[in-house]
Amino acid sequence: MRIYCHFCDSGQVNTYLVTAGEYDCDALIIDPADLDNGLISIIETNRYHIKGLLVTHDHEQHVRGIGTYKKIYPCPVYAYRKSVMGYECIQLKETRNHEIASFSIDILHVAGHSPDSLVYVIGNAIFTGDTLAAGRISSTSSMSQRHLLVRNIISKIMEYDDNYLVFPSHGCPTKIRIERMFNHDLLESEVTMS
Amino acid sequence: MFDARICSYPGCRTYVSKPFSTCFHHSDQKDKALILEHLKKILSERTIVKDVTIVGGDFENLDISGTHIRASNFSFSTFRNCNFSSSRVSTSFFDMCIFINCSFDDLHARYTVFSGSNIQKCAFTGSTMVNCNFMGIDSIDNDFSGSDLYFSNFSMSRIIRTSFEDCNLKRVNFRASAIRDVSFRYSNPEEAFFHKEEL
Repeated sequence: MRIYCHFCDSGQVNTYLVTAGEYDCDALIIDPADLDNGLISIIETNRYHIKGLLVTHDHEQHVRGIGTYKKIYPCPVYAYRKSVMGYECIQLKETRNHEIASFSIDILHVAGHSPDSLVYVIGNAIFTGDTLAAGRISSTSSMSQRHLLVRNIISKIMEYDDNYLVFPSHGCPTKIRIERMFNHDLLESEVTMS
Repeated sequence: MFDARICSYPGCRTYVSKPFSTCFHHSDQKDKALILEHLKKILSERTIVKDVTIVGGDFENLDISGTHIRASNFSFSTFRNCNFSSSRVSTSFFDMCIFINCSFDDLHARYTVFSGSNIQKCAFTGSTMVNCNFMGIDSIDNDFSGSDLYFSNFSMSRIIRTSFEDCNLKRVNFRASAIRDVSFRYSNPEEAFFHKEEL
């Protein structure tokens, strides 16, 4: 598996290109925020076959590139909702070992930041969208949603091994171990909960 | 990415060092020597170092300058007097490492993790380190002057006698860090985050 991190200036969102191998193989896009020449060049040079656009949640800055992707790489959109940006989606629910193309994916429903937030676990990489970022949890609309988000992160994401890699939609990558040690929001909430 | 298989040594959860079935720490001396020899060969050729896992390695006087390190994992390693100048590093993991007297001048790093590391007497001058993770580091007597640190994260760190002069600090996160004898002269700390409410 290979992971390309692509920073989209508009909205400061990370789009991830996940490929099954090094060359001429299946690939997925996580958070189709934008599609520019840099990303097209990687896809075309390495002859990746885009098999799906995986949406972590339906916020405009994370999905505004869907139309462009679908024009160039006709492929299904996968999301929690029936449709995103007017495009029909294949609905995903929380499940383990879900097969998309040649990928086996654990899908976690981690509500809190938004009701439709999904987290994708592919191999040893966790794509957390806007749930867990390096050193913090994402914003929520109320304290009850924040409590829900913290509970979901602890019970669903933090149960993975310390060595799992975490790729959030905003900011730098991290690891489960690092978040256990240095995530200020999670440490703070542990104190509150205890 | 680097091999995600777990070390076969009972109880160890570390990733293996290819092509062996154990991690670097649990490899026997002969295998360790082979792994290091292979790494040194790649480095000497100044080609791309990719998908390498050496967890808990110990490197001294290593010249990594001008190489491209990609999708590699060097967690829990020690680097003394190593030269990373003008290297390009992407999506690689140097978490929980020790860096002493190393040069990272003119480094181009993106999506790279240095979290939990102890960094002393190192120079990062003129570097571009965008979207890099420095959470929970101990930074003592280091120089980041003239660097672009856009969107990097230094939260929960201890930063002492470290220079951030003439740096781009836009969206850099210093939340909950202990900062002492640090200079931000000619930089833009007003665009960085120091408190939770600003995030």
